[in-house]
Amino acid sequence: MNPTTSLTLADFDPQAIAEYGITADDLRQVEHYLRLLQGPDAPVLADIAIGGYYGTAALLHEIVELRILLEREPDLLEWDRDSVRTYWSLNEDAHVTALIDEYTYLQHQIEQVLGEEIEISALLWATSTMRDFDLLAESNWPGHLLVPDAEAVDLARRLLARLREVKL
Amino acid sequence: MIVRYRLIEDWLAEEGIWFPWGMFYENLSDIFVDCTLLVRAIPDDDRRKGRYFDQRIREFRPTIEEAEVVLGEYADRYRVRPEICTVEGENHREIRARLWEILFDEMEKQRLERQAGYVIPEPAYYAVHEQSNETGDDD
Repeated sequence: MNPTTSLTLADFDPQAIAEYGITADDLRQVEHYLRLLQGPDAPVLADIAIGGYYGTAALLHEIVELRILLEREPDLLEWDRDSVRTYWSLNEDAHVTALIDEYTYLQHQIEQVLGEEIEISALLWATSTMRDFDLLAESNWPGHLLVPDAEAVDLARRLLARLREVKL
Repeated sequence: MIVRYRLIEDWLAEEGIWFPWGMFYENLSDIFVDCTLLVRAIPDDDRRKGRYFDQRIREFRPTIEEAEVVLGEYADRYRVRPEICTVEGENHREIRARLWEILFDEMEKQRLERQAGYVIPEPAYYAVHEQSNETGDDD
């Protein structure tokens, strides 16, 4: 099953869609990009397909990352899979920029929609990998990134679960 | 600081090849203190897999020799190369940077080998009777 075929821009946060100028073509490009990287199943498509604020965050990550890569290599989506992956490994900064946009958006929505404050480090620890945490820690991102305590991570998980249920 | 690592490959089903994906390496840093191994890999955005590997490392605390245990349910699509290699650096950051170079070199080497494998040799001869009809159907 192709999880994005039934998706439309209306599934996502309209403010983010407007702010990033996301179009239906962008959705199709993201789907193609993810299948190139992750294979036919492309698990991240399922996260995007959740829609709402949670799915919007996942979509923003891919939009930001892909735009950076396409700016550098406009024909990237025509390449074969191992060429894309090799090129990608040289452009880790695109992934870091995408992480920052994604988690800044999540933090902002949790504050706006749920009225709660949470550190990006806790959100990252709760949902992502040690690898991503390390990448952000090594980057030039000026934010405050300390290993969060268990209580903060637990709070992040609960807030994300609530945000996931919020309808637009 | 000398760190041991092993390369991880994933199976690209459509291409029918194993391709470098990352490496497990010994955690000699002062972060993630509950982890015996860390992962350096292309950031392919698949967090389910990434978190699964993180969780297996914390649960089993494998040595680099035992790194296969991390793969768990992904063992049909990922494999750890048997060779244990070493990398040297002043600190964790330098080690990670060096591992990245090694990973890229591995990916590039394999990519170029594949491309070389696709080169179609020049034909040794050309057909000179293309217009002839060997079946004898002349209508």
